[in-house]
Amino acid sequence: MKCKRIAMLAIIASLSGCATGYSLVAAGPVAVQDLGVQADAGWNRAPAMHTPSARKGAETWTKDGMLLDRLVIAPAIPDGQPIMVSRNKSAALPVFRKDMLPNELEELVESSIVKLFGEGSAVVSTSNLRPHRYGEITGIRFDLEVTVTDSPAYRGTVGAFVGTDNLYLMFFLGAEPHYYDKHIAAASAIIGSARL
Amino acid sequence: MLRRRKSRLGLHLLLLPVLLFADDELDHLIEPGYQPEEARDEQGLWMEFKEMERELNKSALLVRDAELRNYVDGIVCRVAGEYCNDFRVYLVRNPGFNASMTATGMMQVWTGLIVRASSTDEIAAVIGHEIAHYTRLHSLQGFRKLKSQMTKGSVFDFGLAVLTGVSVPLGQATALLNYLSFNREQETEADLLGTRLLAEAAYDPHASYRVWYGLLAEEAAAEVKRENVGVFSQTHPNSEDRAGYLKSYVENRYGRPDVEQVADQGLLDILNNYYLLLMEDQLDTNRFGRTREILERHTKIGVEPGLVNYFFGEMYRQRGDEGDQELAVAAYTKSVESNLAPPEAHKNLGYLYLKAKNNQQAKDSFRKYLEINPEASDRAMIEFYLAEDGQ
Amino acid sequence: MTQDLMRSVSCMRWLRVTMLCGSGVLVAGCVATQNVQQIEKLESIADNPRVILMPPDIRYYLLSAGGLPEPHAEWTRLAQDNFTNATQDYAQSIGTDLKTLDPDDIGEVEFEYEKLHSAVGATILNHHFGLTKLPSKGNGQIFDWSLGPGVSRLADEHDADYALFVHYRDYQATGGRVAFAILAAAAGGYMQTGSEHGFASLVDLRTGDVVWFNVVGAGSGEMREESGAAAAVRTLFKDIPAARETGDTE
Repeated sequence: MKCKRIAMLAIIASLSGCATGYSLVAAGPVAVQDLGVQADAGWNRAPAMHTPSARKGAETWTKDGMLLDRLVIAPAIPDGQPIMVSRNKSAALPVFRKDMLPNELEELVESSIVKLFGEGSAVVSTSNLRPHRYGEITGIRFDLEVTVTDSPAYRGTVGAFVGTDNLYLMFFLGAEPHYYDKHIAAASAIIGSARL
Repeated sequence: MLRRRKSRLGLHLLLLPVLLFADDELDHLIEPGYQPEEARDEQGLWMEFKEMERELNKSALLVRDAELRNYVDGIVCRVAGEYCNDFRVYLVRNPGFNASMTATGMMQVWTGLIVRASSTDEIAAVIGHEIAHYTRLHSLQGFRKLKSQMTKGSVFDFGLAVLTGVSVPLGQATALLNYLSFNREQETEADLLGTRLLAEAAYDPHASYRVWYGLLAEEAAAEVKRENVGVFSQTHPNSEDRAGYLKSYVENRYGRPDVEQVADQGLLDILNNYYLLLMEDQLDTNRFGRTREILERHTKIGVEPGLVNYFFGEMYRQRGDEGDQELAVAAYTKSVESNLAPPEAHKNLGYLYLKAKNNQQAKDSFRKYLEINPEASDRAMIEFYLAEDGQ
Repeated sequence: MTQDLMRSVSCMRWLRVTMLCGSGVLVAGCVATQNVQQIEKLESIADNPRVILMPPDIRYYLLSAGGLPEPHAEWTRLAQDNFTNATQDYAQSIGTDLKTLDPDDIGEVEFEYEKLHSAVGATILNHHFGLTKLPSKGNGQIFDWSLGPGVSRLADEHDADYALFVHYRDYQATGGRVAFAILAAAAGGYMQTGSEHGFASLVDLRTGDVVWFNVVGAGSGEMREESGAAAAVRTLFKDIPAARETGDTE
């Protein structure tokens, strides 16, 4: 039922046109709230209407369309908050805690991505957890694989660090085959370039 | 939510006399090897379901392991009796409590059902229920009822087609399935006939209500209540009504249970051999109250403590309430001692020690993890902590 | 059914629906085709370009008075058979060798690409033909969607140069439905009595690029009859590149 409501809203939005359009991300330094990244050319910033699960202040970028690839940049997630939002009160989204260690951040993202695709509709696994320096701050990187019932499989990569007790999270998902390979280098470079 | 609370009081009192005296008339409506009749709508339904099955066959979420599949196939065949060859059984990776059946005999069993069972008989009870839907032609009846309801002009939201003038281009079959939920009358029929199938196959008929009491216990233990627990529960009579009337029915017909339920070796072997696969998806639901209830059930029926304790450790650690760190350390430690623990038990123990500023023990656990699992894909992360100052 | 945030099974499907709706070309009552043609003619090292037709996803429904689309097995079978035959003839007329894959020919790799193609197809309908254009693609000026060079696995396995994907839905109104529509019209309302629509795409099996993509709306043909199927095929494959200069694709 809820899906249909979202679909209807999206239709109304798409019919009403402009305010809901995609906008080009300018290549070069881009600020997403207090998080800075270096963007390459060719990313489209999705309108809020198309990203119902994104936190306020987070951005979703895509090169070929969101069913095929997406890069989510979620800055400054405070202690006690989930990394995405749901209107479903029984979703049981895991929340970020400021004292989380790498294994816990990895699990936070894994469980959240399961909920993003629909609990029971996807199996998510993670690998290659490793340290990564974001300027002065040591954070993490790891990789993702998502198996979904009714769509192509997705592969992805994740970057995260904790700065002034807030979580800064970036993740990329690309459809398999092809779209992960096509965009992983660009997405990875953006994630790696993140600085406070 | 509303729907589930509505008739709590009335249903089993109301139905009980019917159940106790009229059910002998309840019998299969079709012969084994049933093929659809010439009727247009039935042919159409079969076509859709066959298409769905073609896709399901290739689903990446199917469990293809032979031992697991044989276990479930075996239960289905025993309960189905002479209908055995009518069914193709698909075991699907999904932590929800559900099984489903189409008019064509395509049966889906979710791994969440195995995870929640206290006995093979309980799995058989749910399967018996689904088989009864099949032999009573409930899908077809539901479809026909839906058609006639719609013709009466009810406000109908197949939605887009009517509202926008644009028809649904993709995924018709799933959309259709969502509208084909069984009604309560059919559910009660399936409960009764299913229980008889269960008893005739020499499974314990008392399992038919125990499975519902199990679900009630889980709901009570849940921190976040479900709006719905999947198709199976959503459209069915609520668990309390159902457990109540089934208990009366079974005790009246088969007498009281002789002994307390004990788990059978078949289920224990399956749980012990596939515990990580089965529990991993449950853990990812982030539903700690439910996971804990399930783990306690597994302890009670005798699943290897080394395995159960690992997941107790995972659950407490991820929940992170007051005192949970200590509980997690204790659970991992027990798991590690059993030698059944996956290498991750050492790793996560290491992280817990790190959190407790117990750096020496953290490093010992991390080293142990890399020693057991030298190919670990997170080696770089672990080595980062091993190289940290202090030693 | 699930605790979806964005895309449970059915949600994904509803969103796809949205995309088609948003594309604005499928509104009932208008006869419309729109297409993109990226290449002039088909190329092959063989005498004739070899094309595989993925199992055509064609379905006929009966729209009852209440609006429930009831799958119609007999019409669907008829339409699929007629369509396959008509496509065979059409392929020959444009100088290609066509091989139709049976659902049983669909292995893991084929299935993987069927799923990717449905995501790519939905994306094209949404972002190319639809109203939500992507600025990086010149707001509809650049068409560069692809299944990727990995599709050469299909080329090798089936000895083919191109793959053709077809999706088609036909909703036939029952007498009751038509009566309802008349009543609705009398009351000043509008009610759909039936419709058909679909899309077809041609993929280069060396590069994976979608080299031609066509969307059709109502009035494209009646596939339950042989002559209708031939007409539907001409509409569905409008402007498809041919192996040799034909002058006119109609």
